[in-house]
Amino acid sequence: MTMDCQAVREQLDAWALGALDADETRAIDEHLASCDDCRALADEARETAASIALAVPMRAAGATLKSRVMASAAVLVDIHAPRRSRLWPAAVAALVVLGVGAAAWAGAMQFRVNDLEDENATISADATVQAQEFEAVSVRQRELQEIIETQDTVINVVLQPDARRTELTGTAMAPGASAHCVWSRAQSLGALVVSGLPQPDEGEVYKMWVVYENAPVDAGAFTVDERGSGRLIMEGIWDGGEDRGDFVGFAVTVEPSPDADTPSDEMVLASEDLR
Amino acid sequence: MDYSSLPDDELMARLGRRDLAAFEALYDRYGDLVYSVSLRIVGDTYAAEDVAQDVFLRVWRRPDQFDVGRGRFVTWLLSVARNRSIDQRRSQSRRLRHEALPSGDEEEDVLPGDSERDDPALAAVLSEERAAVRRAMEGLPPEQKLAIQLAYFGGLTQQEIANKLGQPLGTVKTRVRLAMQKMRVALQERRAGG
Repeated sequence: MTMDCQAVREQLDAWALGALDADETRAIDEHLASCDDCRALADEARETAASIALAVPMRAAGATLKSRVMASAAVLVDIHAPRRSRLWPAAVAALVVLGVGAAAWAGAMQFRVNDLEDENATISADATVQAQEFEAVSVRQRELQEIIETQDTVINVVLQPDARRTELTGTAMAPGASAHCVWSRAQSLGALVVSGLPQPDEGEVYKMWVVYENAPVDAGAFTVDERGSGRLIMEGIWDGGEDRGDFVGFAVTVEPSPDADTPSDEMVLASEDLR
Repeated sequence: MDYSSLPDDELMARLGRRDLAAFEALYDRYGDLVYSVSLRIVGDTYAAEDVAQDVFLRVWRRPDQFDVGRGRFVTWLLSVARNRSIDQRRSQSRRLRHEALPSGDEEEDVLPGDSERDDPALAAVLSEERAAVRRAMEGLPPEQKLAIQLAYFGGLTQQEIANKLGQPLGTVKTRVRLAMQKMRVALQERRAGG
């Protein structure tokens, strides 16, 4: 259905209010896509319609909504960060090549027995490359799964009444690094998202510590990807009965092993003193 | 940097560079407004918070969907909030029908009561513009005001409004058009008056 400008303009107010049926709306949208004059009027009508929203009485959202929104956005930074390579299209293309190639090879066997060894070698080489790409895709899938699990934890944490968000800043060892930690003491649960950390040396890992006046508590080890991003879910971090003194904050160190039970001097991230 | 003093367009430009502080400033500026609009439409605090969260995360994920050449950010934001809220409202209605529970009057409950006032702590948000809109709405004949409220907050088409009110479709179309014209004039006069 096509419409002329006059017919469209008569309906723009209802269109802006969302008061047209689906067919009418579609017809207006199609016209607006190609008519600058009507589109300008449509923008004006939309402005008027949106102003109606301003008539509602203002109400305060719940206290945790902002924490939920900000924590989810912080995690989405990781999920939507641009990748250096486009592995999914490459993998799809590889699968298509593999499938088509295999079918072609089966047909060719009947006529080209003498070339079989050469072709087989070529296909094997291709298959090796494709397997490597497939493995890379699998790795990325696992990374995404970890990110989703972290996001779930973040959401779980920020729904707690005592949810807090703490920023960690890079020390002189890692001035470009930063991190944020959302945590709930009541749930003894937290999630750490870091960025900008350099790759540790071979065999080394990063460890997160919950720092008290008298002793640090191991909150877990993590690694970072090629972009320096990493994440850690911290569970049971406030367990244990001994008196450690007041809670001071969080710190991340480089450690020779995930099993290190005391922090090294190589601190790369630290929070403010939260006492 | 004091983000709270930056204009919306500048904050949105920073969102394109993944600036969380800019996003937080936008939330601080409009979070309660988006929640209030959603609450008016969906009528439930939990659902309204879910909608508000959805709306802001959409802004964060796809700031490029806001076209600075086609109007103000707050207009676009409120449109997103309204549309997402209407989707939620329809989903709730379908669920209620499916569960055969009494749903009450789904349209009437979106109409603001005359006695409703702002939460005093939030009255300053776009206060002059909101006051102008309220004056314009209050100046409309009741039947015109009802028609645009049922469309905007209730998500009804003109045909559905006509059916609900037992009025001819042409009458409803006229009411919608006249109400929108008056609102437009009132808003233009406010802008012209500075």
